[in-house]
Amino acid sequence: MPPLFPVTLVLHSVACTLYLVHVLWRAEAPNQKLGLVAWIVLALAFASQAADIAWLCMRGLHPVANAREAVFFGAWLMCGAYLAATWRRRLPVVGALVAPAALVLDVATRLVPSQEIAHAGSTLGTLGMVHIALATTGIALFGVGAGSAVAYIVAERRLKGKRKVVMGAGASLETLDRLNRRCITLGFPIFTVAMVTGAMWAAQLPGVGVFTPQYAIATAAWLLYAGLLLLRLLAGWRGRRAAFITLAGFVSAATVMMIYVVRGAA
Amino acid sequence: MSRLCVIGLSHRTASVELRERATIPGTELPSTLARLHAVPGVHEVMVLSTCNRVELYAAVADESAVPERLRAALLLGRPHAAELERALYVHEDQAALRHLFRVASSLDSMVVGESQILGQVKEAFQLAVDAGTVGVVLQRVVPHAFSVAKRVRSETEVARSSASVASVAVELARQIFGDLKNRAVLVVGAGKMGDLSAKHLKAAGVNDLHVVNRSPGRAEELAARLGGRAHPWEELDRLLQKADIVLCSTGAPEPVIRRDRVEKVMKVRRGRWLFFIDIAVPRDVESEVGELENVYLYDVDALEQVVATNLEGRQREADAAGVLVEEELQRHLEHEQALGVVPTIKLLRARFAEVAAQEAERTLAKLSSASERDRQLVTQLAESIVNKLLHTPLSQLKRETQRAPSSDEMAALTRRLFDLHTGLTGSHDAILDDEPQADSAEPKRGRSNS
Repeated sequence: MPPLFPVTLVLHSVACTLYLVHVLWRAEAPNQKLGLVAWIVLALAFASQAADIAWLCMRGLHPVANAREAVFFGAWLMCGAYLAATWRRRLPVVGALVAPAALVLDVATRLVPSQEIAHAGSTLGTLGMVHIALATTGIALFGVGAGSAVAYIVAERRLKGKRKVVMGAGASLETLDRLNRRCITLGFPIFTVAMVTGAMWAAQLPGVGVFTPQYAIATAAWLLYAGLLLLRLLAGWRGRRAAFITLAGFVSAATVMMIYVVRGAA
Repeated sequence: MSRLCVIGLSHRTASVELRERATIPGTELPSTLARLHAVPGVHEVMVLSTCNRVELYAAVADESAVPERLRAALLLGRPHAAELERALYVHEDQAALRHLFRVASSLDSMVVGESQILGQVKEAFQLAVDAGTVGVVLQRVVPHAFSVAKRVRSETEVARSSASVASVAVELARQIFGDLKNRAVLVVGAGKMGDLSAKHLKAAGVNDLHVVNRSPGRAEELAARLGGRAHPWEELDRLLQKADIVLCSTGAPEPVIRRDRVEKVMKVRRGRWLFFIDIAVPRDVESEVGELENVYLYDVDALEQVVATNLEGRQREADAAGVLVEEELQRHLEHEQALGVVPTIKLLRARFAEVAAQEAERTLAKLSSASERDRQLVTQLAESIVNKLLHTPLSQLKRETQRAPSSDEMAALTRRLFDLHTGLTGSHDAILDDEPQADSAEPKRGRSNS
């Protein structure tokens, strides 16, 4: 286990608690300071996890050494993407979704026993490593997009349902939709290259082939995101529809990753 | 000795018609203050006149007739005086202080938690200060009321939610669009409510405002007032395609904006969010419009429902704020009680200092060969003994004063014991902190914590 993992875990848990308190307990009158404190604590957790990733790298367990480390790295990237996207304008409502998801992934990856041995680079090859790194980065960005999509759906339902309106109650619909669009726009080309390198790598591996269930699900995710970007561009799609497609795409992409994690542990 | 007293009427005791008659115009306030200040037994006075209350806060002599004289002076020359008198209330001492704290904290307002009242109390206080009708008592209690109000606003949620249709509309727009600075607002119709809500949106930062009305003259007039542009009614569809927020307040008997119309508009808008605020009765926007994607429709009922829910929440918070006010009231009363014993403390210290000085003088007269340094040491020794001797009884006196309401008895007993008669003046707060220290020859100086 990485040396700073307990510290990361504690910081991450504190950040999650603060975000959830901000969003649930004080839903009727959110405290902006609480959102800022949560952001800072999450940033500290991010820094601590970065040190752990560096420590793992020095021992040969780099982020793409196996599926477990890739997920650990992905969770870290997801937090980083959220922190970067909310550097100027905090969106605690998205943090309340992203931070717990990343925490669950962190804990899950450390609980899963690693069957794949270090220095996997020699077995993966450059193509495999590039594929895993890009796929992980793409999915991490989709994860933040999915967080903003969920926040959008909840906020929109609240507005359509004409519920209680309070001063400064979190992010506006437009802000959430913008974050969603940016994450997908940035994540899609990365994921596309990951798809291509994945296909090339699979074709090289003896007895694997491109036409696997994982690849089919990943293709479905890619098609959903491609369609979404196209419809956003050509038909002006935005809002709830975009949020639902983002969620569907993320579930597909994350499923592929989970399949690899479970297989790695088996 | 002065007592605090409040005489007035408010939305709780008087109808709006009566309040209108009682209101003192701003131009008359200085002369009213001077007239009330001239009433025998009135030491200080401040007048608060708003649309929901007319009250005077006064520091008066401890005579039962003074509040009655103030009542009469307040009603003097006013039409319907008998009716006004029935609506008047009088609060004295602790009740008056509680009332002031609650008024400044907006807990006694018609819309609990509204922010205007604090500014109005501040203005009233400043006016009284300028008129020279404020003294020690009001200088102490009114600023404390400001700090109580600040605490209530920062420590409770009493003022967090929007409490008017216009402010709810603005808040909803913010929840859809975020910053309203570069948003286009279309005002459909020239109704009074639309005018008010548009002003709120302008105040929230909107700078692109358009008005469309069946009667071009009224559209021009409203546009000029709001700093927007007027358009003929025929341009409604084109304007709907561009606007982000549509504020409807026509007098039309049937909806002027129907679902099919908005559907067409939304196609051109490529799904851009559109927010309808329909404050017209009968409604201007068909309710089915709200079912369309990325279209949000709030009519008067929906807006008022939000306001009512928010007000319920404020009322719940007002209970918590009430506890806070009581806490502050208690603190203030304790401080006031402590101040009551200050003249006795001053006299006692002066008496002891006098004795010490005399004894030091006598001793030094016998020490003819003493150097300047020795003389200083003897004087310091005498002062030090006095300070050490006084430390415990003075601390005890202050403690007892804060604990027991019958502190006057304790002070009276002390004066009798030490035969203290001479009157003294000076800063009470300084005396409370200027306590002789048992372990030091020099008295410790500091600030009062209340």
